[in-house]
Amino acid sequence: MTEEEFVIIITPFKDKIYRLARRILVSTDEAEDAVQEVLLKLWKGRDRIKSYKKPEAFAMTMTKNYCLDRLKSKQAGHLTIVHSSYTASKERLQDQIEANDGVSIVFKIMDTLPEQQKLVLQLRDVEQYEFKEIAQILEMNETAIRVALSRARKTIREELTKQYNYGVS
Amino acid sequence: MESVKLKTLLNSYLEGTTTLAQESQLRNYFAITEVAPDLAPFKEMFDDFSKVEAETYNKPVSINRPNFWQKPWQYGIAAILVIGVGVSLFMLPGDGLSSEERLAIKQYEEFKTHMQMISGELNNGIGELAYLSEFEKASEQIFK
Repeated sequence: MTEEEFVIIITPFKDKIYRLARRILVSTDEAEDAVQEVLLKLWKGRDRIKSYKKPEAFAMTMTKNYCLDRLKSKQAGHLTIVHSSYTASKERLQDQIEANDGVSIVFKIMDTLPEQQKLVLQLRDVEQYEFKEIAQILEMNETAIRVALSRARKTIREELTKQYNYGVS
Repeated sequence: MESVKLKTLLNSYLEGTTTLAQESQLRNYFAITEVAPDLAPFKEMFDDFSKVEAETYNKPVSINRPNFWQKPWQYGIAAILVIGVGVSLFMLPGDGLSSEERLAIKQYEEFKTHMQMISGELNNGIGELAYLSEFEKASEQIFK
């Protein structure tokens, strides 16, 4: 497979990979790195990519796993550098700025959701995947996905309603 | 959309039982309609969910990133070559002598040939002396 063919295959879903990474990792820089990493992994396994029925779902699963791993090691990193608080606080400040930068209130609430609900909501309401595809990507069954989705949607609605009420009173 | 239908749709949306088609129906509805305050959270949700689609990955896709460990065998060969060249440079002079030492050996060889020539001449001289002593013996016998 040439590089051009590869780019043609990944172009339709590279934005989705980026948004998923962004949702999990919050920081745009980290998300861009993650996309780069995932694309590199896909390129290394390019001989197999055509044998997958849906390279997109495969890439999304890969992104999810990679980002969650990153998140885990990042949190571990935060824990270890607690004493040298210069870097730690700087990173957190940057995260905060990035989190506030151009991200709407809905996504702020979304960030507070449990990981699984966040992912389901992202894949369904933002990327508009079918339940079957989400099940494939997240390696969960459809019922669990519907439950998580319902909870996520309800939480967001409740939080937004709360905020509106504060605004009024 | 009638409000009754909207309510049922929103309820099933919250339960996670709407289809994609129904969801895009809701999305379109909230995108163009001003809604009552109690539905405002839904409008916000759908608006934000559509906005995020503008978030795109604009960096060029570069997969040929130079990766040091991509081809370790090449580095192996390079390392062996470097070590080989180093070792052979160390070993090549063979006798392990410096230029001064080699000059000294050359001079020693020349000195040796000179000395051999001299000793050859001396041996000739000793030969002549043997004749001389023969001659003396003979003359002693004659003039006794």
